Amino acid sequence: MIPEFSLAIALGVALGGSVGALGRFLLDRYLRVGLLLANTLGCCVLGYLLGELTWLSENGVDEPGGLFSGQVSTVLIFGLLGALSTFATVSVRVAQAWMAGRHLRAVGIWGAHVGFGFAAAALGIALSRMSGLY
Amino acid sequence: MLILLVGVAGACGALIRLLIGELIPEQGMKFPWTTLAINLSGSGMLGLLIGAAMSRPRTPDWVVPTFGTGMLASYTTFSAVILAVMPSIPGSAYDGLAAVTYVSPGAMEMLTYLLISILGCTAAAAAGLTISRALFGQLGAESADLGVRSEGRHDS
Repeated sequence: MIPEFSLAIALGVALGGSVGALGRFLLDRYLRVGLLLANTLGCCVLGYLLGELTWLSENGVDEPGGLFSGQVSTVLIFGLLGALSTFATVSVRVAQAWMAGRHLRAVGIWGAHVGFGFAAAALGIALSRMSGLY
Repeated sequence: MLILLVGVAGACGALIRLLIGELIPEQGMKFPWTTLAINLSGSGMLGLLIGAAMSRPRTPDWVVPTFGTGMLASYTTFSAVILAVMPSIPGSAYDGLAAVTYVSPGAMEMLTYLLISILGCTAAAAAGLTISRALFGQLGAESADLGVRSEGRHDS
């Protein structure tokens, strides 16, 4: 989707970005599987959000400024969810594991992130179908 | 204090990604190339940063959490990649998703996109780590344990 742009969106992305980054930072610092949790959570919420957006566009519901409007989803996708989930940290950890000769662990880390990510996204989409929000 | 730095850096990372998304919109692209470019560049830069920090033990404690965990990790995204691949996977409930995400290629193509993202970004990270080690490390002396030292905390 084309990210819309305005000062409000930039502020929302900045706010969401800091909350998402902090959430991931704290999860990763205090939980062994914190990073996996952050990515999984990001996929679940984004699945839910895109599920709702899909329903709205399929049913021609136009809801400017509403919970699932273009502005709000841009803010969430690029701010909170984009910052909560990360590709770079996983890449570096896998690269380190691989370079240290721990190949199985390297493959396992990516496998876990992708597996949980897909499952969480499917769960989010299913939840959006079930929810009574629309 | 560190919390504040991570928060501000996270905001910067998200804003940079938004800005690049505005300049190179993915709408109409068959694959989300902008997201791939962001993830590749972010992974490479994080590799450089972590490699440099490991080679220089006197790097202040706040540098990696701020620029790495805060900025670069916020800049890259995992959820957008998974949700870009999702609609192409056969399964009725997800078909409609394509309408709001991307022009939907086939499942094999999108899984290949995912594989390219994973392999490319891991390679970029490895390249970053290696380049930093060559640039900042004490040649030879430390190279044996460099890959292991920051390994302490992994998730799986």
